Amino acid sequence: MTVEAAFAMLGLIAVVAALAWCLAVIGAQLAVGEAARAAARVAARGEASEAVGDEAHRLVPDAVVHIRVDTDHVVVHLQRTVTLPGAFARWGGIDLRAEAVALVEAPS
Amino acid sequence: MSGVSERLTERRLRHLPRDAGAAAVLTLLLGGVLVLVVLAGAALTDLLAARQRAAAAADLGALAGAPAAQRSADDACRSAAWVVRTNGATLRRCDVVDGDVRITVSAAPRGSFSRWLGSVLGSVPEPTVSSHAGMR
Repeated sequence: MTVEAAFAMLGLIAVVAALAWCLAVIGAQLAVGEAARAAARVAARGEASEAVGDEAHRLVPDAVVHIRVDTDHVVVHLQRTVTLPGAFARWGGIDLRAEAVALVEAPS
Repeated sequence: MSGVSERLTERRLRHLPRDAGAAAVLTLLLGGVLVLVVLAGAALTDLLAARQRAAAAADLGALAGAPAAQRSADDACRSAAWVVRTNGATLRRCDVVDGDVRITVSAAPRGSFSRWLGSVLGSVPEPTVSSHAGMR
């Protein structure tokens, strides 16, 4: 049983490690979505684009933020690339994206 | 008939340790459990993402409706509905009470596994979130 079990354990450990990374990615995706929403809320208050970007970066520091201002609404788009851990990083990663749209209050 | 084959198997097994092959069976069992965990995780993730989308849409929709609520309830709900839709969710309810916009929003899970689950089970739960906003 021992050699067979050793190989089997190696495989299982690899699978569990992959699962743990997936959990981390899920957490990161939810954070990106949350940051997009928070940034859109700031935009809805009619604040400048810098304030919107700052809010997004406060929640996800390494996010790429695109802000598109239209006549009466603002689209906040967040993108963050999560790479594989350690030596696997050069194999690439996953792009996480989130978008939120807010109407801008007319200045009164 | 069965007596002969039993005796043959017995003779073959006598030369092997009693637990030979157990690790493979255990691994397959553990692997099966892991696959189930992964599928459950995928469905749960999708549900969480949908809930988040609904919450964001409800929040921003109520905010969008609030200024218009002072003119008319129809205007407020039209603004809210547009924002909710562009944020990828569906407006289920919209009321204006004392200049306060109260909306209920739902979002369907969009992942391919959830869609498959929906076609097998008939439906998957749609997270529903309420939000309200007003100008005071």
